[in-house]
Amino acid sequence: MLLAVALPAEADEEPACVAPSTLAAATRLPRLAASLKETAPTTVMVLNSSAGSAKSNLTGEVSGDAVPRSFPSYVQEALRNRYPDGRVVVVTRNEPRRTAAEVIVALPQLLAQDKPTLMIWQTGTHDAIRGVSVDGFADAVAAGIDLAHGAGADVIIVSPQYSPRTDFAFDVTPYVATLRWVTRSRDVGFFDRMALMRYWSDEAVFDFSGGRSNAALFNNVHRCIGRLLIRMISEGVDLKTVGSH
Amino acid sequence: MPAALREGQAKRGRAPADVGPFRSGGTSVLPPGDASLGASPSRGSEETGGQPERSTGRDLRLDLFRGLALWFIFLNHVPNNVLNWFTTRNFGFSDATEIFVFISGYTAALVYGRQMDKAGVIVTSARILRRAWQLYVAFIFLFVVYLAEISYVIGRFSNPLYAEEMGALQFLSEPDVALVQALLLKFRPANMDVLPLYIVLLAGFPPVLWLLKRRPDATLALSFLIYVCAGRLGWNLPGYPDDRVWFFNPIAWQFLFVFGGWCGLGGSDRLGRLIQSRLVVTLAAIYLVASLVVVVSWWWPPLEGVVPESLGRFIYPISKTDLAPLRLVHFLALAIVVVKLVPVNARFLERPVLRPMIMCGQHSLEVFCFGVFLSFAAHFVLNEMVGSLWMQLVLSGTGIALMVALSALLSWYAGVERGLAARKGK
Repeated sequence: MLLAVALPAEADEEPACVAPSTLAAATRLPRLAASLKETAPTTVMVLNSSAGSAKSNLTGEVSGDAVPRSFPSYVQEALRNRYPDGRVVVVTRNEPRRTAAEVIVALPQLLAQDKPTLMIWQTGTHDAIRGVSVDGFADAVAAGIDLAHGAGADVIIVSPQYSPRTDFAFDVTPYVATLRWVTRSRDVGFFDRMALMRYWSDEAVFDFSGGRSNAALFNNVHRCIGRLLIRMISEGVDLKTVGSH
Repeated sequence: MPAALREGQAKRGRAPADVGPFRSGGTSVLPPGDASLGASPSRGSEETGGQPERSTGRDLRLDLFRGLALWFIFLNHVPNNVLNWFTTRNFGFSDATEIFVFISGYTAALVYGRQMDKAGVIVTSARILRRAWQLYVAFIFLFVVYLAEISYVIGRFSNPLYAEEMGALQFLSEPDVALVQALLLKFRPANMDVLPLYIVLLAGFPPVLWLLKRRPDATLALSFLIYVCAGRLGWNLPGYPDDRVWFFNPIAWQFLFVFGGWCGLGGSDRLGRLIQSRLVVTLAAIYLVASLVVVVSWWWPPLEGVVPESLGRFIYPISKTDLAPLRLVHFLALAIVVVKLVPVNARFLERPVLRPMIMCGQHSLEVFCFGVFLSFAAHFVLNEMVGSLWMQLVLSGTGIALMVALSALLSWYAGVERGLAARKGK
């Protein structure tokens, strides 16, 4: 891991966003596929209860030169490149410091407002921090998925990020395991951000234990996550096509 | 569970009293520095059971498997440790916690039950409460270590990627609240969850033991009823911060402890024929294999899809907080199969290779607390110095070696104290 320090330090160098495909396996995204096919205006809603975005200033210190870009902005960029006519938009709804159960209270309104055809929902960090019971968490996530489906949106669930410095204080692993089975039993996409980041850490792609404030690391990680999400989304859209033949 | 216990104790006339300093029978677990405990050999602590065990020996399987559980708990507590994969939780519904709680209930009832006969209810209850108090002090000590690590991380670490996670550690900005909540056992860091559970179980144990000795079956039934209510009605104790509840719900987990106690007071003998029957053992084995397949299919891609989705949906989530019935049954099945495979008089139990594990089991509470401390230390080294695979292996091995060393030290110390006391007595 010491070796890895040198690698990501190079600011703004394109990171190699390698990942085992099992960690972000594509699932069918029929609603999104249909919407894209009909060339209808399409909204992707990123529901982020974690402070992945620089906007939610929890500790108020996103110190650094450039404003860090979080993964939704990379998703947006990629979609804009692919659909230049601007009919595909990404909206980010930050619900900082909210557990899944609290998020689903606000969810019907958000869904009605944005009318997404894909909801990307990262959840679990605050549930782990608050020590919410895993069963309650599972119920809330399942309810959120059902709400989104009911509102005509496909769902991709994103697990909390891997945080080696703080995992002795609160352990997200049971929540990630819960997300894995909820998504599997509901047949929705699961983007295992935690396993992915752990993989990057093990493979010395990124070093997450560095003590210094490191905006480049933030950007690179989020860029990779955004890229892999896009890959997962486009594969999911194609799956639909294959399935319908 | 260890159904043949009484039979085993009878056979154990040849108890391995002379295996060097690592004697298996009745090693006293003296809290370091508590000379008052050591001064009188008849006043054993929970682990010792005072004098009688020394002559009769004890079921080594209890110590062996509790020692194993302690090693597993330690390995599981070092976050991101590759050796996590080899512990029981990846191969079935239950994990080391069940083993630990059950055996602790078993030995507590065995030991304090005898003391209650000899020394009376009041004195024994006082001893149990003193034990709970010692654990409480140990908990506070570990909490201080935990705070030290958190403070260090907050002071050194400002990575925007982890703004939210770091923000969660800011509870230290109101230490008045955090400390008071810790003193009330409401604030329990992840790794230390088992300890508050154990403190509460032990503090509530005197009346339970009294009841268990008078009306064992009724007590067990009552305990079961409370367990069912906890699962159904969501009874739990409040926690901190926010709307946290206890990760190990004592109201649910008490059943395993009481069941252990019930077995320790002779219940397992009465169950003997049932749990030794071929049918029950076969059913237990089938259940173990089935749960193995289910659990492994969740993390091992080749088995993916073997378990039908509908079954998975029915099974999960398996609540650890409320000791879900599937976990409980898994533990019972495991116990039945182990008891069958490892009879109480199994020769290999006395092999020197197993001695370290048995010793750890005999000093379980000290070793447990030490293990929590070591897991903090290991976490620190893995994050601050080297986090390589190699280092994980080294730290895991070192941690276990240190746990064994501590138990050897405690055994030695207990032996010395006993010797002194015996001389004084003459």
